[in-house]
Order: sequence, then C-alpha cells, then structure tokens
Amino acid sequence: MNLVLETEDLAYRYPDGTEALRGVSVHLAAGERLGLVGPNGAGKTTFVSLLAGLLEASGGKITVAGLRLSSGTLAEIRTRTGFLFDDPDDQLFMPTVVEDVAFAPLAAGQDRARAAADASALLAEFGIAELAERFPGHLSSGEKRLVTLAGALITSPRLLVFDEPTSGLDPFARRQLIEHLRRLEPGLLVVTHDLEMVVELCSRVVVLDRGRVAADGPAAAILGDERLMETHRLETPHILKHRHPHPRE
Amino acid sequence: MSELAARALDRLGYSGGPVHRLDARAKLLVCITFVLCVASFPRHEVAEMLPLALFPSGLAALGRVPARPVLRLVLAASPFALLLGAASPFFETAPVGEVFGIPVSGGVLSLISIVLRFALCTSTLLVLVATTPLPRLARALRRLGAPGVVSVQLLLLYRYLFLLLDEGERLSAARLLREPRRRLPRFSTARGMLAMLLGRTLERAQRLYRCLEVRGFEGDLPPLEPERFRLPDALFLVAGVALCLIARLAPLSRWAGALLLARSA
Amino acid sequence: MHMADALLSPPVGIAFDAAMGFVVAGAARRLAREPSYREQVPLMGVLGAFVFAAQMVNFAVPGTGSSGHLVGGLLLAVLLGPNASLVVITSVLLVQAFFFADGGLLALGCNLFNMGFWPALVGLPLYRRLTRSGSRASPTLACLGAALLCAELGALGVTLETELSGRAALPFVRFAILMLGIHLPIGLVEGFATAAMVRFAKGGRGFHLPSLEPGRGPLPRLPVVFALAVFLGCVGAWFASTRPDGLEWSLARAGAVLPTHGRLHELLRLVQDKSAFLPDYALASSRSRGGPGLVRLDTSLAGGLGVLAVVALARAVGLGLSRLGRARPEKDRPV
Repeated sequence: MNLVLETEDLAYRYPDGTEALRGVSVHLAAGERLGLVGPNGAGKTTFVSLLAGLLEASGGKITVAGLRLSSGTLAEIRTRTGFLFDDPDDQLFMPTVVEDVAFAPLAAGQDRARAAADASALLAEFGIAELAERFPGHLSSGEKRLVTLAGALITSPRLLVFDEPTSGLDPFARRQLIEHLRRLEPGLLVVTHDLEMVVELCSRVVVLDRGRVAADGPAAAILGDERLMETHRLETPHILKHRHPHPRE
Repeated sequence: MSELAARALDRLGYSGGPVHRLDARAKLLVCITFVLCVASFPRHEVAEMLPLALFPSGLAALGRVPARPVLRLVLAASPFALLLGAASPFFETAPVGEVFGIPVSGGVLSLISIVLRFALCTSTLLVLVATTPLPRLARALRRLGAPGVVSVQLLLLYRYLFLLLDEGERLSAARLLREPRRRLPRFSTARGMLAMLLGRTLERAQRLYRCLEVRGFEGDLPPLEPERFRLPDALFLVAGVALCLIARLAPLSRWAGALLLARSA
Repeated sequence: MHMADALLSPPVGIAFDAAMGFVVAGAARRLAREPSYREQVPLMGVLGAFVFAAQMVNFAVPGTGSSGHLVGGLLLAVLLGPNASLVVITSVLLVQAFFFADGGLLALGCNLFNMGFWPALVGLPLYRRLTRSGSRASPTLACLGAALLCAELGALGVTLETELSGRAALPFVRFAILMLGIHLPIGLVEGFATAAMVRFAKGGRGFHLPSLEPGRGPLPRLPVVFALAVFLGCVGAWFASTRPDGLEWSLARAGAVLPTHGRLHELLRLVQDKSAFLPDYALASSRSRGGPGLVRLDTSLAGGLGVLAVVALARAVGLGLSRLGRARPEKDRPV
C-alpha cells in the first residue's frame, strides 16, 4: 500500500502539561480520501498543526510521502503537502490572486515565468481565470476558497490536508468546492464538522475524541452508527439517517 | 465617513485606464516633485500656486477619478494644518499686498496659501492612490530604494486594513446598539472594545503566521513580474516634472492675468 | 497630530526625510537579521492595520467634553520592539497620507520623527526601566510616563518644524506653550489606553510576542545620532534665527573681538547670508505701482483665477462628454 500519510502513536502535550493527543495512529493511502471528525476540543486542529510542523510532537512519529517528519525534512515535506485552513483570508496574503497562487514556488526561488504559467493554468482549471489580477480582499468567500485551493495545488502535492474547507460558504459555493475536491488526485485528509460532505467525499473516517482515536473505518458504517455518533457529540448525517442507499455502497 | 471615501478610492485604483497603466514609479516621482514645488513657494504666495491645480485635476480627469470622494477626504481631513494657518491673520497683520486697492495682510495671504497647499498636496496623493493600487506603490517604493522590510510591511498592512476596519466598525455598531444614547463610549467600554480588537488581531497574526510557514515563507513576498518602464512612462515622468518646474519658476498667473486684462482693456 | 506638507518648507521636510530615511533603513536591516523576524512579519502587518481600527474607536475623555483615541506609537514599540515599531509606523503614516489625506510625503520624515522615533528611542527604554523586576512603579504608571514624554517631545517637534518652515505665522513661544499644554491630556489618554492594551496582550491567552522579552535589538546607533543631530540643529537654527546678527552676536558673546570691516568681516557676512535658514518672504509677484511698499496682486490673482476657471470648465466638459458617451449606446441599440 502506497501511503502518503502515516502517523504512529502520535502524542502531544501542551507546555503546561495537559495532554492534547495520545496514541494517534492514522494512515492514508495515495488517492484515498479520509475524513477526520470529532467534537470541539478533540485535538483535530492540534493534529493538523503537528502535520504542518508548527508544533513538535512529544511522542510518536509522522511520515509523509515516505519522509519522516523532522526539522531537516520539514521544508521538503511542506512542498509535498498542501494545506487549507478554515479562514481563506489568512491564507490569501498576497496583493493579487495570481501572485498568491504562485507564492509557494516563488518563495522557493523557482522560475517566475513557470510559476506564473502554472498559476494561470490552475486558475483556468477552476474557472476563475478572470480573477487573476484582482485583490483577494475583494473576492467572495467562494472565490477566495477556490483561490486557496489553487495555491495549495501548485506544488503538485502528494498529500492535501484541509481544515474546515466548507466553513462560511453558501450552498452553491460549497457544492462547487466539493465537486472540485472530488476530482483531486492526491491523498486527501479533511478535518471538518460538515459530515454530509464527509459522506459524499470520503471512503474512510477517523473519529477523534479527547485526544484519542475513537473509531477508524468505512465512512458510511461509522457515520451511520447513531449510537457512536452521539457518544462523541456528533450526529449521523441526514442522508444516512433516512436509510437512503449511499451511492458508494 | 472618510473611511467610506478611502474604500472608494481603493476600489477605483483597480479600474483601468491610461493613467492606471502608467508605471507606479513614474507617477510617484512626479507626485513627489509636485509636492516639493508646492512646498517651495514663498509664504505669501497664492496666485502663482493656482495653475498647479491643473495637475491633480488633469490626472483625475484622465484617470476617470470622480471628484466627490477626493473632495470629501480633503474636506474631512485632519484640520490641524488648517487650524495653525487659521491663526496667522491674527499674528501677521501688516499688509503686504493689495487687490484692486484693498490692502491684504500677510496673515490672510499665509492662511489662504496654507489652505491652497493643503488642497493641492492632499488631492494629488488621493488621485495617485485612486489610479494606482497601494501594492503597486509599495513595490514601486521598493524599486526606488526603500527597504524590502518596509515594502512587505506595507503589503500586509494594506491586505488586512479593511478587514480590521470592518471588525472595528462591527464593534462600534454593537456598542451603539446597546447604549444608543451615548454618542461616544466611556473609556472603560472602549477599553473592552479595543481589547477585543487586539485579541482578534493577535489571533489573526498567529493564523497568518501558520499559513505563511506552511507555504514556505522566507521573509519576503516576491512579485510575479516586476513592472516594466516603458516609453509612455518616461514621457509622463519627463513631462510631469518639467510642467511642475515650469509652474513653479515661471509666473504663469501673472502672464495669464496680463493676457486677460490686456485683452479686456 | 500630523504635520502636513502644507506647513513645511522643502529644507525642513527634506532634512527630516533624510534623517528618518537613514534610521528606518538601519532599523529594517537590523530587523531582517533578527532570528524571530519571520515570526514578527505577520504580527507587524496586522498590528499596523489594528492601529487604524483602534484610531477609529473614539471614546469620551472624562472631565473634558472632547473625545480621545489611541494613537499607538508607544504600544507598537512595547509590543514589537524599537526597530519593528519604526517600520510599522512608517507603513501606517504612508497609508494615512495616501488614503486619508492625513500627513503627507514631504512630511513623512517629520511625522515619523514626532510620532515614531521618540517612542522607540526614549519611550520604550523608559517603560522597560520602570517595569523592571524590583521596580515599585506599576505598569500603568510606566506607560503614562513614557506616553507623556513622547507626546511632549512630539509636540516640541511639530512646533519647531512649523516655526522653521515659516509657512504659518505663529509666535514661537506662545505656540510652543499651547502645543505642549494640549499634549499633556493627549499623553495621559495615550498612556492609559496603551497600558490597558499592554496589560491585555501580556495577560496570557498564549499569545507569543517575542518582543516582550527584554533586551530586544536596539535602534541602529549612527542613524539615530544623525537624526538627533538634525533635531538639535533645528533647535539651534531657531535660536540663531531669532538673533539677526546671530553669528557675530554669538561670537561677541563668547568674547571674541571681531573686526568691523575688512576681509574677515566680509567673509563672516557671506557665511551669515548664505546660511540664513528662514525663507525669504518676498512675493513672487511683480512690484508695480501700489501703496508704499505694497505689492499689487491684481494681475496674478486674475490670471490664477482664470486658470482655475479653465480647469473647472475643462472638467465639466469632460464629465459632460463622458455622460453623453454612456448614454449613447442606449440610443443606438437596434429596435
């Protein structure tokens, strides 16, 4: 199995000693889509921060696309991973859309013309080529989200980690985003409260609660288990509640 | 009020047009020359400064910048300079000139001169930003020699400026809803509002740092394609500087006046 | 309070622009070399934006009928350290000049000197000294002291710059007293507001502010000395200008015996004339028949107003044409 992400016994402790994560072992194969769900305070954001190398684990290890995460491999791992965080305004810090999409290769010192061409191609792919010279602050939330997606994809990452990608989007923009996510090739880890999207997009689900993995298995089975969902302050998505046959089954 | 006008100017900066397309460095340099020329007029000069009004209004006309937001900002701007000027007539009472037989005191001329300078300089800068988005000005400053650190700072400040102004406005509106009879909040209330604003700012800084880091930020926000200096830009620069100098050194108003009055004689 | 281009003469404006240009260039260099620079960049950016939002939150100043607001120079210095705060204040002043008609380009150096330099150079060190462990002063008092000092020094700067530029006709001493007086309550308000913000920022919640650690990189020494020299030079220039025979007077006071004629005298006169700082107040208009000593302004005024009329007319015509242009496509639409 070709794994793009593997965490083994991952643990994290805050500076004051509180345990945020313990014994978290998660794996994701190439091309697979995994949903990471759980109540607030479960440690999902901490998990993402550890993957991003923003926090240092107190135990366990993380392997991304065959590389063990360490201070020496961090830069390389970051080019192999695309991150999307919940507020696109945090991510869109450049003065124009196309400059933002091209930021990662530009910052790495790559050829400007090539970066510009790649960025324009991605914008065209998402149907937002006309936004290239616009100021990100003037875009709608749906447009901003698509631009951040393009910005994450420009380094041709093997792994994508998205934290609440649909938050703040209206139904149309949300639908657009899900359709784009569906067509993505890299392995995708989605951290979200949007359980309907998880059902639609992901084949597997990991439930995180109080810093530990509470469940790990097929999405429909786990999310359809109403008892399990309730125990972890989640809710079975509507589409599974009314026993509609899930297209994937 | 002035915030709305500022947003309007910002949006205008992104439209197209011949002035918008000019190189930002050329525009900046001409504006600096203009300001220097205005500032170099002697204290009591009024008439010879008037022809300089051609520059901001001409630029605004060519750049399709409506007068209203510009005027609104000039009129609403900090009156500090004007207050100082307003005191002049009280202190400089000796007459230094006469208009159609009526003696005019130096103080009055100083005041009018200051008001005129203020209007000329501030309107020019406003028209500049209405025809050039601030990021381009920031990059232009860098290419003219300003430190990269300052340029990056300007870019980020600009990016989050209106977002933070929005948040501030929401806090003010919420406060006003709770105490509609108080036009201004008490200091303790304002302290809470500012603390909330600061808290959100610091949180955003942390999130922004996270995003910068994972995308490989090394300390710079590199441009995709630097602006190229072309012939129209060079022509604009030369013409702009030349016209400013001519307006400053040649008594255009006196010539125009001689022409006008001679003809009507 | 912002200095405007309208109040400045080119020599004063350029002197401060040059002085602060060196200081900021040096501060930027030092800042870029600090190991925590990458972490500071996002903080600097959003704090700059915060300053704008904060300046819009006006509150009632108790006791007076007026309103006050946080200006932010000292807060930036405390939260970011001297070098970073100068860079941020530069960016704030630029945006204020470009978007809000507050300040200006020629006045950039002066404003930076009055509002950014003092907090970084004296405000922050005073604050740190007063809040050192073992000190009996409360942090609020430290902020008050620092803010007051910076406000007064800034007010002094404005007064000097205005006086030396000679665009506003104000008696220096009275003006200075007024400015220094007004800035006392301004400094107090700033101190209280800054203290509240610093207390909040330091109060946990996990905000990592690298500059709150003591001993953060000082300002670049040489440019600072140069800037102070420019400031002192201004003070000296004001002093010298109030004495018409400044040079000779000072020398005579110092006990030198000066020749009343001869080559040396001529040389001294030459130096005196060339270095006369204050601008010439003679009008550019021609001197024609008018009252004794009065200049006739009729011709140039008529001409100038004529030019303005042409400008206004051209603008009106242009607007009219563009409106017609917008209306035409409707008429030409095929039925």
